[in-house]
Amino acid sequence: MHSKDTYTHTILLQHCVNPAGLADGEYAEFHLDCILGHDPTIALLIDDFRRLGGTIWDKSRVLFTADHFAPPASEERAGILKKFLDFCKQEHITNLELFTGICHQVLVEHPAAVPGALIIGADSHTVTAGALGCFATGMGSTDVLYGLITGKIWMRVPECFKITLTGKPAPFILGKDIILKLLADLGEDGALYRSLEFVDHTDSGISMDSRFSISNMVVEGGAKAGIFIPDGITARYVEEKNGSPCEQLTVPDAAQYERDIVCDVSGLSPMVAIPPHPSHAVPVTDVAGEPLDQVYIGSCTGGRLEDLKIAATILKGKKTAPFCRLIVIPSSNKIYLRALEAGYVKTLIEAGAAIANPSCGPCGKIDKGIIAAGETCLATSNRNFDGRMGGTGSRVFLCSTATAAASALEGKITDPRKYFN
Amino acid sequence: MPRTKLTVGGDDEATEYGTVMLKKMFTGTAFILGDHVNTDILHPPDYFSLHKERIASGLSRGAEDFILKMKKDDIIVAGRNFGCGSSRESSARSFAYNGIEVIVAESFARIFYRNLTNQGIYLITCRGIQKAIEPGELIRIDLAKNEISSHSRGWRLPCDPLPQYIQNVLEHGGLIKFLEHQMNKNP
Repeated sequence: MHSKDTYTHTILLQHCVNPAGLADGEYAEFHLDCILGHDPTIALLIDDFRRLGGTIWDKSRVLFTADHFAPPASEERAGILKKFLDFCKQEHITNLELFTGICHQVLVEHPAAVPGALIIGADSHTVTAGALGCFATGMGSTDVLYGLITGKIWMRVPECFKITLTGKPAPFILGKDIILKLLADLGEDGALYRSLEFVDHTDSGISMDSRFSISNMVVEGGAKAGIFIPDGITARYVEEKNGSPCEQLTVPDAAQYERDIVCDVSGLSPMVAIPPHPSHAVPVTDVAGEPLDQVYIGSCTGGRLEDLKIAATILKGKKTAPFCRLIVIPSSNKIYLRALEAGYVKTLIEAGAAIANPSCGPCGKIDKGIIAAGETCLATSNRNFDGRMGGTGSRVFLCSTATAAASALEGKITDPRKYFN
Repeated sequence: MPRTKLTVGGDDEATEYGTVMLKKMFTGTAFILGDHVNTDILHPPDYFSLHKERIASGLSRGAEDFILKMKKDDIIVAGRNFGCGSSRESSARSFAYNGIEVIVAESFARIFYRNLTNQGIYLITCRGIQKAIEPGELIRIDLAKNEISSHSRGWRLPCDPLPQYIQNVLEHGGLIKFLEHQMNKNP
């Protein structure tokens, strides 16, 4: 069945350059509310931008971050960062976040991310902002260059899946477990080109931090967007962030979806994704005991305040296993400062964690925790492809922060449930 | 903007449009890849660079250097969800910098599809090709008929027509030239 009159369609229709007759699978051009970019992917478009003699259509709608090579760990990367920063200087980019956090976290802390906004970003995990009711999607440098100059972008109107979350998650269940379970059910291309619309009908509502994790990883199922239909939890978050009431988008009552999925999170087990596919997720008990060289808590998926809090709760007064390195990277400085105030950082350091500054870290094999050939890392990040974090034959398992923290204590993949009594 | 339909008949290899050409026919030997071949395999993240030579040298370095086994007229025939993963455009550019003009797959991951199209590479979605094809088989992609056929074994399979917008981008040789054309038209 084709989808019709969905939340996604409503946003797209409002932004369509020529709004006559939008339907699934059609190509159309859309006005952009915001463009997100970071050091390497923006650096890649600068030469073409200059050669075209381009000007940015609206600088107030551009948010750039230096978060990948932050700070740079090699001469080549220092050169890439310099090129990016010189461009920002020359173009008088005012919304520049220099080493303050990972772009996807910085975006959801920024006033531009509000329900109904249409956002593209030069990074696949731009879908994270869907948790705030934005249509946010990732693209490559050339698409972003097109957007920067014209303020518009072409897109294929996506079919939509409705995913209703119900039940009452156990205290050790985080958004990460929910999305790993959904990815396991959908498969690695089960949501290809689709926009996923999440409706939160769980008993007490899923936290904003967990929603960010869920939206962040929809791309690992091929999806174009992962949007939480805004509710009271969204409104409170946006109001606190922006200091003004959150405008609600009117959603048609009679939306039709290609698929209607109900996911009861009540009996959900902590999930772990086996390399090299994020969708190869199984209950933690299936892989418990797998020896670990490193545990990584961080990234645009799993380095938020909720993550640091749960890690500190599990690790308080304990020590990580001998020879198991624990690396913790808060997703942004705002989170870092709040975790410092709450004492989480002190607890984590005392337990044996190495805390690094907000940035992408070892994910994407960048820096601060790359693993050697043959080593195994358990990570709260989003990708476990071969070589994603290090050398040949190195492996990355993906999990929630609760599972990561429990596993760091034992030096092997560990069911976190025994730390929740 | 003037539009050129792909369904123009005749034996010409391409339809002329301004100074650029829209190709209608590709012939080559199938070079088979599997399902869910991700961007980190196709172009490991440490090959991200601003230098063309460095980007070009990273192609397939995470997958036993399949590029070294490819011959000049080989056509990649991939499985489902080809190019899933990162938006790093260096992955897509590495295909262009190695002279790859066309790729066939059961399906493409969406960002990868955009990135390769923007580089002017023809991406042909053909459901069922994985089952039909054998390694080293000579195939012909006919975009006038939207069909892929085997020279040696005679099978024919329909492929998805290229959407009009994609045709416009390819006619210009990629999105940058398409944008340049628009900027020259509306300075």
